[in-house]
Amino acid sequence: MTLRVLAVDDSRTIRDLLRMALSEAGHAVALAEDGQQGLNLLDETDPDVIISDINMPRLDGFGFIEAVRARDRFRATPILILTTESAPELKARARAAGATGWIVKPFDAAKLIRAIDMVAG
Amino acid sequence: MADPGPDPLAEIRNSFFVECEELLESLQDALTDLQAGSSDPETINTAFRAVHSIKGGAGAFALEELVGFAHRFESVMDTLRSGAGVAGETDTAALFRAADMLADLVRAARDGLPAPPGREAILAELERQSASAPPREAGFPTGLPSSPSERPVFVPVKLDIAGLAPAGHQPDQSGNGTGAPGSGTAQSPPGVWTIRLRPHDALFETGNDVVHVLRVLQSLGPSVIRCDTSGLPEFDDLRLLESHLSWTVELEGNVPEADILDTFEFIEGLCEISIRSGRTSPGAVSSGPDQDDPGTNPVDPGDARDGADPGRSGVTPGAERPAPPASPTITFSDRHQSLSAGGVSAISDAATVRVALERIDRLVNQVGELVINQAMLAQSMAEAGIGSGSPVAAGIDALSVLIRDIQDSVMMIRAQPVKPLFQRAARILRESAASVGKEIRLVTEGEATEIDKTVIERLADPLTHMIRNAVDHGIEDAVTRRACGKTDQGTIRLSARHRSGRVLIEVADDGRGIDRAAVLRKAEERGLVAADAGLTESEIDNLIFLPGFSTAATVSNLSGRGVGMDVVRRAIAAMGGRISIATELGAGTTFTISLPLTLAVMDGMVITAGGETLVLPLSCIVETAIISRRDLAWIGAGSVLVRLRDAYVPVIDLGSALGLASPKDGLAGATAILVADEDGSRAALVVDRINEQRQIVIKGLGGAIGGMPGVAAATILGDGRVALILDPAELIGRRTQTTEAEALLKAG
Repeated sequence: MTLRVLAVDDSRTIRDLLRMALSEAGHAVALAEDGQQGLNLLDETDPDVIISDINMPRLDGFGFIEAVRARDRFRATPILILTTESAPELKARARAAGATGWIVKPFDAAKLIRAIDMVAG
Repeated sequence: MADPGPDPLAEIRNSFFVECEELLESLQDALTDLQAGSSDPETINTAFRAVHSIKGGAGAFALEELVGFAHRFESVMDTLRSGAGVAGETDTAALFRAADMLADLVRAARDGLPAPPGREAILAELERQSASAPPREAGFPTGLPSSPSERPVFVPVKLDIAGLAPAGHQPDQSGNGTGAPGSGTAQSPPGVWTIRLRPHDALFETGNDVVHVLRVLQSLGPSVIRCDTSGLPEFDDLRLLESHLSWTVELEGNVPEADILDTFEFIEGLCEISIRSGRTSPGAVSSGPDQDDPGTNPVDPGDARDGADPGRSGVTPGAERPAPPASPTITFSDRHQSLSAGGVSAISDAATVRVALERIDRLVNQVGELVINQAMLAQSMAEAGIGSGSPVAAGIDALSVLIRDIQDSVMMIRAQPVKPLFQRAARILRESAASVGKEIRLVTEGEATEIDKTVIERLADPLTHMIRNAVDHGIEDAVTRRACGKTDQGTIRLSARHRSGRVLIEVADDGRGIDRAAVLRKAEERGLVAADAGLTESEIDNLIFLPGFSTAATVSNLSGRGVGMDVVRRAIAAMGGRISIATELGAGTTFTISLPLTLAVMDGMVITAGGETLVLPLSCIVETAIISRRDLAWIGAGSVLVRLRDAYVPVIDLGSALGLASPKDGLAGATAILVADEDGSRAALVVDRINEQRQIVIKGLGGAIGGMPGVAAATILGDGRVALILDPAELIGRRTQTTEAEALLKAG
């Protein structure tokens, strides 16, 4: 099933990897460089799934997720955070902000696709 | 859409290293700001993010040494930014060293070279300085091994599901998270698992949905899924945002328990879960459903969503979950067709476009052809006798202005700011100052000044050498400086600016300046100048550019490894640049490099010699003259001098020197061009005639004639003919060598 995925990460490399992995899995990809740009693209891209980094300039992942959840239309849209750490407190914070799940880097396409299956399969 | 190429991953890898350079640059900037005392929290955040992003990308490509280093570096910076240690308290030098090492690691990884040594020492110092930096999170080993770079830093962390599960729902699991199944179960997977699941209300607030979990479970093996609707209240009492359903899954096929646990990774703590071996039996989920329970219906997860959707009642009557207002899959499914799979519907990086260099080079070449074509057109018009007042000529004039503008714009595409070059210089300065124990501050100006990419690349080595020279020979040690009434800390100023179509780069130090007496003495000792040469101050200063000249009393480990300012000057001259020097004893020395904006175009003088049309770079031409008989002097063996402006310079009959024609019968009355190379060495080139001065597009020469002495490159003239571009420095040098050889022969 083709999903519309909005991926937000300040690293161009990670954006490239996300685009490649998601495209290969047959999904449509929109990319944003930070939380603010992600918010700006919300309506236009109308994502089925959102993937977001945490550490970003302007608006970080937590702020971004909270802002997304504040929008009725995206209250239940699955949001996966990208995190380099498997720190429980980080996940707890992300969940409190409204994150659905997480993808622990190092980046791995199989992990990514599996995580998407778990929230939007 | 463009062909993504054979290996998109390799392309992303390349792009990663490009991004790394950008990140390293912003890291340098942030550290420089910190060093200058910046207290803006965003400064350390930027530095942190740069290292963090490098780590993230490196992890994707399994560059473990890079990941390991970046992780520890990042941890220190995380401590700094979390306020545990104020940046000012930590020696920024240690951060700079770590940043430099990070840069080295990135480049080693990029070039497939072994990681440079000394990482552990740098990290240890950094960690010691950031003092009692606590480990950032429990997920990583706290006692870092002595050489963590030897092993991957990403230690797999088993998810401790029991620890995360809500209190009161752990008894069915061992609690140690090692995969041991629930009580009363054997280690080996049983044939059948019974899994019960009752979501809390909070599960839906995170965007999770039971249906996905059920689908994943179903994919693990043959399964029967039942939905327990017995918890549903009467319709009138139904609250949309409350969870009323639970599910039971019987999963067959010897599925490892860990796989089942993984399925619940995202909903741990958001639901009640019980996992038991064997078929359905009473468990943690209330009202223990089983096959005979009238309230339990087998559910296919494919239908679950429909069942849960209030708008599709009938499949599972009343099986209503607190569905969010928008259910994307259903509401917008029609729009999926308008989006191509794998397509990109929005792109970032709107402000910039990345283009392969070869495409730009092609464009530069084509614009060069355009310039040539325009010149050819103008020439044929002149030959056809079309006057300058005609409308055609006016049109051609307008066209040529436009073409010149396009050419400028195209050249701008290749232009890049000198900032990376300056950052590299900053590093060289830090390292070399540390190695000679001097305290030196670098001040940079005009980092945004843009020059052709090729010029920047070729400037790196000369600039490195100049910085080392300034550190080594220019700036005095602290004791000497104090004695001179200067601050202990020396200053090197690096600046770039545009001036009249060229770029000026200055390297200025506030050091001891050049001791002209010492320079002259040294030059005389080495036989570089005659004792009674009577040189001007400027000429003495320029002696340091002579090959083999060095005034350092001892050869230090920095400069003076057989590479001198002569190499610097040659490298700059090779780019069509010039270097000059201004110095004041006790106050400092300033080197000024003047460079063309681009290497693709230059101003040239079109001449004819030996019947051939040739081009001389305008930058090397001093003046033109007609040789008069009384100014000529013969010094034997065919060597001729001519007196021009009260100085005798060697005469080179260009046609014969290049082997194009036999020597001219008489030089009197001949046209000569006085050229100078970057040493200030001069020669009078005798030519048949001078044609015109014009801008020319430089074309590289192939291997066959690339090595031809005295010839630098080629160009295409207005009439379509190819003309060789001469290298005056080489012509002068050859002349000098010949003279020396003759002198040796005579002496022998």
